[in-house]
Amino acid sequence: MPEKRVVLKNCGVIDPKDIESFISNGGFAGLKKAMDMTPSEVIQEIKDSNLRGRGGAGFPTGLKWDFASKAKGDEKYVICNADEGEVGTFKDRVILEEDPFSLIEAVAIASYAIGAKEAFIYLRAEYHYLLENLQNAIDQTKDKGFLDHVNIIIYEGAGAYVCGEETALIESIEGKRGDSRPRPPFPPSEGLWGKPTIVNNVETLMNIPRIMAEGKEWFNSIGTESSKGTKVLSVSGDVNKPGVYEMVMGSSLKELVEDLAGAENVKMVQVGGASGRIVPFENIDTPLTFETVLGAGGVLVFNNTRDVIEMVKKNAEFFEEESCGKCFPCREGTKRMLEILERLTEGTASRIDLEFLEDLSETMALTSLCGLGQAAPNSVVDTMEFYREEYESRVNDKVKV
Amino acid sequence: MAEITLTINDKEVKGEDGDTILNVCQKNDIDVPTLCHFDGIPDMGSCRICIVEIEGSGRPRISTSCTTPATDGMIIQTDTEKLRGMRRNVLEFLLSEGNHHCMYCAASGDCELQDLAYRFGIDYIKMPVTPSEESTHVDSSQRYLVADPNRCILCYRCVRVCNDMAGNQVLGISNRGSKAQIISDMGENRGESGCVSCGTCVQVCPTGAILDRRSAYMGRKTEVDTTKSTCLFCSVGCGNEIISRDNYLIRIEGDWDAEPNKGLLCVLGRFSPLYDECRARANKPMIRKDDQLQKATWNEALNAVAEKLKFTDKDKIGGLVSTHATTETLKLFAKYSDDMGAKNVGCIEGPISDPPEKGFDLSDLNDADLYVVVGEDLSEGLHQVVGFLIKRNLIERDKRLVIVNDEETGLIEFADKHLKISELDKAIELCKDAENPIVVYNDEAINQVDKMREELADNAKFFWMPPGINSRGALAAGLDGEFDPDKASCVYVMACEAGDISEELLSKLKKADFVAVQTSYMEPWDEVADVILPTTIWAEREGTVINMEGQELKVNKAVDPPKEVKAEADILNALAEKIG
Repeated sequence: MPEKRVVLKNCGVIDPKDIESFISNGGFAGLKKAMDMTPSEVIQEIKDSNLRGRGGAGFPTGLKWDFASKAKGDEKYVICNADEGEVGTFKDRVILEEDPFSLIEAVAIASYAIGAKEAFIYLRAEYHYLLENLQNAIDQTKDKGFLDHVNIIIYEGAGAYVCGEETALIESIEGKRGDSRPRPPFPPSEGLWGKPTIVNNVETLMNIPRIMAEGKEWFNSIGTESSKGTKVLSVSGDVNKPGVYEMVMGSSLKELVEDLAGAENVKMVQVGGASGRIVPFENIDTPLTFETVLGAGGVLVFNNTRDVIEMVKKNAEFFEEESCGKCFPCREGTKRMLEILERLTEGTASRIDLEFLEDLSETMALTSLCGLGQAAPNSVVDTMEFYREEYESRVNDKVKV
Repeated sequence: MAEITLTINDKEVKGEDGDTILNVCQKNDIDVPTLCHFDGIPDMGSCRICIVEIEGSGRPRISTSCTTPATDGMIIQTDTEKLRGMRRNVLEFLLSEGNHHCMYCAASGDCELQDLAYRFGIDYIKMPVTPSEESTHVDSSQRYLVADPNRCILCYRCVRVCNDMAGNQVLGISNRGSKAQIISDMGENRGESGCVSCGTCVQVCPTGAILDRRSAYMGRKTEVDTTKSTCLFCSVGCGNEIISRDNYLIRIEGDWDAEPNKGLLCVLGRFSPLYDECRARANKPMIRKDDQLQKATWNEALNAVAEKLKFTDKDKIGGLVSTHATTETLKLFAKYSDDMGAKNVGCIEGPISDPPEKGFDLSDLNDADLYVVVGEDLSEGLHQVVGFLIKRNLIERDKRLVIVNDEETGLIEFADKHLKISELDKAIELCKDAENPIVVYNDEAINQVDKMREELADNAKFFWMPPGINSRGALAAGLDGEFDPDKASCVYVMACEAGDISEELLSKLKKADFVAVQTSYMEPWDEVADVILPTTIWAEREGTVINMEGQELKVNKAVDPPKEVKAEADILNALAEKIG
């Protein structure tokens, strides 16, 4: 299955600073169509399209909207999660840079559907340079009269990775420290300031205007049985052509990594950034779906010259730095995990360290409060499964326990 | 509330809609270990000790029982081998990350981390014990407590009570991950921060990370006596627990079960009575001879007073009472004054206004959307707990505070507006726009509030902050009049702990022919008294008081008074008997 441009339809085609070029390329067709429908009809359309969240968890978008729409309360909020912090993920940046209007259109549709009068775009601190671009798109859209029903506010993050987690993101918008909240309650019932809130990833939202304009049948015709549509992936690492690719769901990892990005001598691929799963070369035919590997869409390619333990240690360093410290398994687990990996690279690790690493990974994955701690051991668990010998060879049996 | 049925550990149990899984377990005597959870403060699910397995399609889901709502039909396991293993791992993490050497810790024996370590049989830690390099500075800058971050497990209990319950917003977290640390304000030493010494953090700390200076090492929970009582230092009437050992006062804590404070106390109720009260105790009856107070027997002292009262013209007799006394004692005092025909009787704080509202409910503060504080400074002195109850509500987005006061008050930094008394009309307008305004005022602002009451009629609630402690008790006893020292030549003072007496009153009392003082402390009465009758202090008293809400609250005796000290009522009765 080839590349297909659904989400990236306008990228590189329109002038991101000029609304007229967006409109002449079919812009706002989805919003206009949505505004002619009732909010519940819009939600039904999205539900029937089988669109699932592109932020990593793959939750059905229409269902999320439905929960928020049916939740009690007059005040509701839409939040666009543009805090793209996952390692090796840069697809939202391209979208924000090259097609901000579609995103604004999508936020307008979502706000109409659930009845939100205020919407936030939570922009990653490092994307500050995109602020002007995005604000300009909001202003132009407002001038055209497309935003009479909702006020869209850009809220800039402060650089914490964990704020990409939806509840930490909400805390951050509330002006608090960006720590994750326990769920339930889930944001669609109790989110921003305790009010029903939907938090959608940039890429998820980008699908909305397309679905509204082209119809649910069209969207359902793309992809696999349970993963509809396309996925935008950012490929980096040991490849000849790093960059952003949009693939039909179900395309194989091989097509992306070898055929399109031109990778050679692949040892393993990490799909979903630092928190993603590891695919060893022998499984490179794995299709890209929610059921297999996907995550937020960061694809990191490692060739035969790379050391597995070093790479996992780099991941562990990242999580040790970014854990918010609120829940105990993540706060201490990330630190201990890094320590053991350091001992392995220094040659001072004992056999018990390996056992403990497995045990600790399980405790973190099962008991951490949010996705950060739950996913932090992913690369350890996977590499211990596929590259056990590399771990074994680093154990120093002379180390006294 | 609808009843729900769950299956926990293969047993069918009942709960109520709205319960968490932990609530249901506690109601059904199913023991689930907890650490960051504390009854009465909002849960945040950070320690992951209370995890349970919830059956569903596929693998059982692991969730914290303190934050997960219980739903009908849930099937739950609370004590599997897997759960125990993970709890043990989390405990090992904690024990390895800080200074948890129990032998050298004042909390040993009362420490929840230690309890859990014993419970899970942890006698070996798989990882090196390496306290974080950043958390080595022990903060002893605060007068009443010591904070040792090395013993902190970051359960956030202190942060939660400081922000969500006492509304002070002093404690917070700095840094991330394993470098995260509890800080005051922006990292100041606690003694130099905005901390108001309410001490709630001391009471909730599960380890020895925050310690009460005075009571550290003075006895574990199992070795001390705990007496539930009512704080006698202002009219909020906070429920407290007086901790003593061998008739010695160790510490005061807030009572979590008590309305209206639900565990909160302020510095005046928690720390001051034991740290700051340094006046000499009146512990023997005394009579002034040759211009010197000299020890006497009770009989001699009572006779001297009885003689004077008996033979003084009743118009020349004055009575002055402190509202530290219980309602029963105040009523007894009023009765004996009446019997003698003495009319010149009043409270030390002056006459008490009798507001039209006979009572109110402080918990209504949680439902208000606008607070107007007129005349009163709730940030220091009396009624600080009312200030906490207001401040903690201001975290919500649509609640506002307006201060009407010509002076600066400590609550201004939390306020939306600060108005002068002359701008009262603006406050009235704001109340009219609000859905549920509450006006908090004291006797100084009585005229302004009369005007507000007139204009707002039933659209606002009015909360009167009485000038004394048991002022409503004094009202009930009919002791709301004014004592005029100029008209009295023989004065009987029932002072209890009262010590903050104006120079003017003292100098007038000095001029009186005879002054008898029934008091707990020598100061400042030793200057003016002709007879001292030693009486009990707050912890030795028994009876009831009526708080600002109009609630009758029980005061219980925690310790016995010194040998020659008598209870207020016993003294009054003995005196009445002698007078006849």
